[in-house]
Amino acid sequence: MKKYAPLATLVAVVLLGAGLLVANMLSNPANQTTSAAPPSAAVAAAPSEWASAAAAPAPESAPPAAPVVAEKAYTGRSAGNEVTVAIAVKDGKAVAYACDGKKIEAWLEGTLTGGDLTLQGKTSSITATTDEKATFGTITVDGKEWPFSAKGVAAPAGLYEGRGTVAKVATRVGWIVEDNGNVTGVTSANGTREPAPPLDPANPGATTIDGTPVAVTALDGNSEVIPR
Amino acid sequence: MNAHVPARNRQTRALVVAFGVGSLVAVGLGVYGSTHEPAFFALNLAGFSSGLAAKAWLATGAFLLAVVQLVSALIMYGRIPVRAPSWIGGLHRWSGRAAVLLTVPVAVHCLYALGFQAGEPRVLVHSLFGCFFYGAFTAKMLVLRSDTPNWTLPVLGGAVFSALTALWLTASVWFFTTSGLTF
Repeated sequence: MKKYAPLATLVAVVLLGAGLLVANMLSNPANQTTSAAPPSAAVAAAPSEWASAAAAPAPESAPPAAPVVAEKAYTGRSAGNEVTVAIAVKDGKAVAYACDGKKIEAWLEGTLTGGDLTLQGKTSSITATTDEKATFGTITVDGKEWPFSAKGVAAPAGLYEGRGTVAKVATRVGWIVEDNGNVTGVTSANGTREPAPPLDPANPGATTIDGTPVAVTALDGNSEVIPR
Repeated sequence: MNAHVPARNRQTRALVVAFGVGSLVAVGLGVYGSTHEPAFFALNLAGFSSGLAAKAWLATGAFLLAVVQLVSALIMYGRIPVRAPSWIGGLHRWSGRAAVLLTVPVAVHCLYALGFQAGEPRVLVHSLFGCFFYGAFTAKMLVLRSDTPNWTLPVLGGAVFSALTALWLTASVWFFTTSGLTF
């Protein structure tokens, strides 16, 4: 018997791991037949990811939880560094911007309920959980889905939007300033996207595209953005 | 093992089996972690504020037991000048079993909910060591009762301990320094 004790240990590890994996799969709301449920219920159920499945009350009966943070900005990256993500929350409202600095970008807006962030863009969405320090979740842009993490940052790090009329074309720029000073942005005009001009967070008023000044604002969670 | 096979061949064979299976486990975990869609869902353990806190504390428990592992192994190998008590082997075996079982819920959560990720150095290092840890552990278990050279056991034990330490530093310690000592 003693000869097989290490193998028994290995088997115990495998069995425990497999059991937990199956338990997770069975109780994952994404794997249950929620397709018949109305979309709002599905959205409400999805953010319960870290919550105890047994203790989770029915989404309908739960009163909306107070947001865990009043005002905060988060910046981070998707897991494979595909996009940079910035999220700003204020008083339960949230806006987000994600871009790759080249030609992928998404503007989103949504809500923070308790620690659950749900944001929607035109062809993008974010579901995440957040606290004062960090946000973890999934971002979907044009059908591609990436896990991401973002940490809470203080100004000048955060999310910036620029508007201007360059060569008679309405131009919109999004920038993400990370707390290490890294700036990632995309300019969108006339349906085409290209890398954004440099942004100096200390002097946003000096930003220009081809010599034309661009009005730059730092966004908070309450800002109006046009989701797209 | 056949008695007429030369001892040296037997050793090589046992060595190849242990390290081969261990490598397969490590690579298999990595492949599963990077190919399957992260579920972003996991059962929480009762009594913890969040899944992350539960993971951080389970891993801390495993790390403390791993320190017991290191000390008891050093005593068994005579590297600490105390007389090895008779129960030291049992302590080493059972603390090891408890440690590795504590890591399993953490690893399942990592693999199922998050997967193998490479977005930043901490996460990449953690993902690599996570796969390596179970590979090294498997190899160590296989080496224990087989006919491999004497150096394999301490080397693999050291690898398992180092990997767990790296995992703990890149996850639990990171969590505690960013979120505070929350339960």
